[in-house]
Amino acid sequence: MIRKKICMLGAFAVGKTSLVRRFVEDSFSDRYVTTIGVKVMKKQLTHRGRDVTLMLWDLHGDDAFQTVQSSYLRGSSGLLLVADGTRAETVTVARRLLALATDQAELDVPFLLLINKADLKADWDLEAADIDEQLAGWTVLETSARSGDGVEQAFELLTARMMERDAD
Amino acid sequence: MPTDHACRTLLRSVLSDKRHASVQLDNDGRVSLTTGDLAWFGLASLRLGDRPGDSLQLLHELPLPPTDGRLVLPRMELIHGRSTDVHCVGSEEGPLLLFLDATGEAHRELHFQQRGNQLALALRSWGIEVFEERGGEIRGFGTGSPWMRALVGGVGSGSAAAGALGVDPEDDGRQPFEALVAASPFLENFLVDARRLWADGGDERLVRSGEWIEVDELGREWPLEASAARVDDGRHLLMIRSVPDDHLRQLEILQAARSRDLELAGLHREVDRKEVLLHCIVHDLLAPLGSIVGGLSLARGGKLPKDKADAVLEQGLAQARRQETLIRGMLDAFSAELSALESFETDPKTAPRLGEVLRAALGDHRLAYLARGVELTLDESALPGLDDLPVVADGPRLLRVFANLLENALRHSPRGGHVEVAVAPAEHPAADCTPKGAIAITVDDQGPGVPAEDLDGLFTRFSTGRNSGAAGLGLHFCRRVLETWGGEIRYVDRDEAGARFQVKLVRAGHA
Ligand SMILES: Nc1nc2c(ncn2[C@@H]2O[C@H](COP(=O)(O)OP(=O)(O)OP(=O)(O)O)[C@@H](O)[C@H]2O)c(=O)[nH]1
Ligand SMILES: [Mg+2]
Repeated sequence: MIRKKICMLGAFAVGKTSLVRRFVEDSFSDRYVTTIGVKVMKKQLTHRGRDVTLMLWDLHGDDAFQTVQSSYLRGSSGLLLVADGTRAETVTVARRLLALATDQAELDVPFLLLINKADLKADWDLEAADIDEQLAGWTVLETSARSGDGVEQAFELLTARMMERDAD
Repeated sequence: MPTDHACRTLLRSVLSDKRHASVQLDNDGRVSLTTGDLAWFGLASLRLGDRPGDSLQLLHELPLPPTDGRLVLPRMELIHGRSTDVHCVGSEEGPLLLFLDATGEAHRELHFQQRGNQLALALRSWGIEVFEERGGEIRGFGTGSPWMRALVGGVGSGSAAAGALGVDPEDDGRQPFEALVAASPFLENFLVDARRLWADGGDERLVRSGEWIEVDELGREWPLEASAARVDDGRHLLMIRSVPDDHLRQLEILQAARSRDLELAGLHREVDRKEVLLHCIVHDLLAPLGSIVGGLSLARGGKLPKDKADAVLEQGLAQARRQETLIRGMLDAFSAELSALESFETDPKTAPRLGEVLRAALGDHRLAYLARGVELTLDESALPGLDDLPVVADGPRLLRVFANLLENALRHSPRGGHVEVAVAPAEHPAADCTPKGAIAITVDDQGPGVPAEDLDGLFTRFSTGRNSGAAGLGLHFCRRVLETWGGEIRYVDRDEAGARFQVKLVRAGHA
């Protein structure tokens, strides 16, 4: 049995918990309950005929009140950085958290940036050009935990990347 | 039972501000902790001497108010006349554990069973688990607190044990430490930090995991926190405690702070948006004013020949009309944001007639189209009886929707081009409509179409591409009002043929 740890990283209220819940339980709630601390959820899937258990570490949001400890990231096989399309500044937080992962936690693992809340696209605060310019070389996906669009694909793509990395 | 809570609150307050503390024994073997005598430093090991009077004070009855500087450990019994160490493990924020231990090896042996059991009860009631590391192996005191049972199995007896002090001392619910680690990837991860602390000495006495949440088989959430400590006597301890109170308090504060932050960010965004909008509007209003002012200045004084003057005035008038249209569009857009949209007709008797509104819109634009040499036609062959067809809408606003689309089409049409408006029922295959009783109205032009990069924000308020010049408000307005009526608007790509906007309306009485 292959186990892979994935950390959900991002500013507060970008939808980390909602994305995990959508993926694991296929449900969604509009009510915002901020995450205190860490919660680990599991999800089984098959990748090319092999069983993989994803350990999804839903971390609290990173802000002035709670900062993410780099020790939480230890042993991660992949990262999902999450930003909120309606709040451009959350992309900056995502970049900072990636720096934390690479510099302090010394991780060199596959990651994706999810721009969440795609269902609110009319209210998005981000231009495609901003993303291209700021995040050259990143894989950026749009997701909506609310509608479910792009969620499974994101986890599957990251799994595929993590498995490829193993094969190397 | 308030005592347990009071004890914890008190112990926390004693330890947290690093005030002096002392520990006392009474004749009944109860232990109390009083602020006062002993220097306290985060993590310490206090010795109660054999000499009576060593920082001992008299005890008061339970329950104690949380502020009087005393702590009574529930049901804690000690053997009199022995040297006893009282270890307190605390941190900046509060205590993690207070436990007692006979120093003499013999006594330790002799009384371990009884003391262990009593201690286990106390710890259990506090939701604390204590483990000791020796030679790389971690062993449990096995206090069997409810959260631990819930986590690693035996949920049933765990909830029985939740009665805190009411637990059966025989049923100590011990769980091997491995079971806990197997249940908790978070704990497994924290052990790396714990082992580091135990291994390399240094000044640090304590590391904390930070809070995490475990979910038991019944779906209940248990907020927990682990701490690893090195105690003065060289022991390595790992403590895990459930922190429901801390959790709730933190949640309350952070939730409020973050919700407010979100709200504030939303307001900032709204203000920014309004500023941009205002800028666009001023810009849009200023543009035609230039030619109006220019035209009027030229015409003033009557020096121009009459035909020239007429042409200049005509041009100025056209610009003034354009400005009027813009202003009307803006008013619509704002009222779309406000609540003026709420009134619309659904009753087939009073609802606007599609044919009437369409013909009025076409009529209003006939001249402008003529002037640009663009042909404007209406194809109603697929849906006869338009003039008596009621649709869910508000008449004047529906007229604005069509006006918007016709103005757009004209603006992007080549000279000599053709704009065709076509109406078809939902049942008609050409209509491509989903809702029952829907009607599709298409406006086709022969312009260049909407470039792919502009498609995304076409119906949002600041779309700039195709719609530029009117602060991108027109199509936004169309979408907002149509959606309120249960209809929709979309853009259909026709490759080289030009742009197609399709509006769907619901037949009144059908909705
Ligand atoms: N419209 C929309 N709302 C979303 C989406 N994802 C999350 N939300 C909402 O955004 C708010 C925050 O979602 P959470 O999943 O709690 O965010 P989080 O990143 O876990 O937040 P913290 O735990 O505080 O860091 C909630 O009100 C969600 O309902 C989405 O895709 N679309
Ligand atoms: Mg969360």
